Amino acid sequence: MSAALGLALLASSCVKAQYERHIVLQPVAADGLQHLAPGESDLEHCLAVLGAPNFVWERRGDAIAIAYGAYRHQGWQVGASVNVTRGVNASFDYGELEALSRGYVLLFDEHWKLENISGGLLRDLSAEFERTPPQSVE
Amino acid sequence: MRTIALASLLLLPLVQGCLLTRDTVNQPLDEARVVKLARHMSASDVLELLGGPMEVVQLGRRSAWRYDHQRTKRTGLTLFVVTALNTDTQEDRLWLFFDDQDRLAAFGSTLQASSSEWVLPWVDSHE
Repeated sequence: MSAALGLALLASSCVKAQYERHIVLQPVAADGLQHLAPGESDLEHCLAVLGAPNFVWERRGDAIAIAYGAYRHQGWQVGASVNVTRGVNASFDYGELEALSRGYVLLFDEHWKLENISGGLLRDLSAEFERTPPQSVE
Repeated sequence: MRTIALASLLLLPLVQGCLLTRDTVNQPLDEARVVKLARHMSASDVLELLGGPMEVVQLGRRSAWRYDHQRTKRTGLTLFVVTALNTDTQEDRLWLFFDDQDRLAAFGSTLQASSSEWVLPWVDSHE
């Protein structure tokens, strides 16, 4: 009886399982960070080694912070109903990137000289920085 | 051969669907233009070369401009009651840092949007 019920559920597609993987950007190479030295490397050198950051923030005075992040997650969803269109909206969301990413934040002083490098969840690392809204260019 | 054909026919009803999609945001960054960037270029020269940025961040008396392009490729396959879905988003990104005289002081680019792939989720990708 239970086998028949199970087959009936499967046949009607009431029971579904979904395996998803989401890859968003590629992390910076950790060995690239080894070429950067706080107190010595400047912004230009850091950009040459790591490429363009994902985020740029203003700090006190003319100091700045830049951040690199990426994430990937994968896993199963099993249930009576699975929405296969979840996540189909492909618009890129920097808020989501900041919330979910692990990465690095590089702090620069007012002369854009590297002060410090921190690693971890970007949302934790970036909590202290003042946000300025995007401005249009005339 | 007959066995393969028969097996294919038997499996056919179990394959309920598949999908391949590609989504893009903004135009790809033109590498030929990016390599023309040089320190001390004026902001107006950069505007002429690259057009308007997506974002401007004010950094005290200085500023930073962001240009970007994203490409997302999605692969899905449904077999009977199991769906496999992979989403791969990659990006071209360019940040330009201007001094208080609106001269280009530093810039960095990452051009990876074209590396976005259509693969199923168990296939190694960007490892």
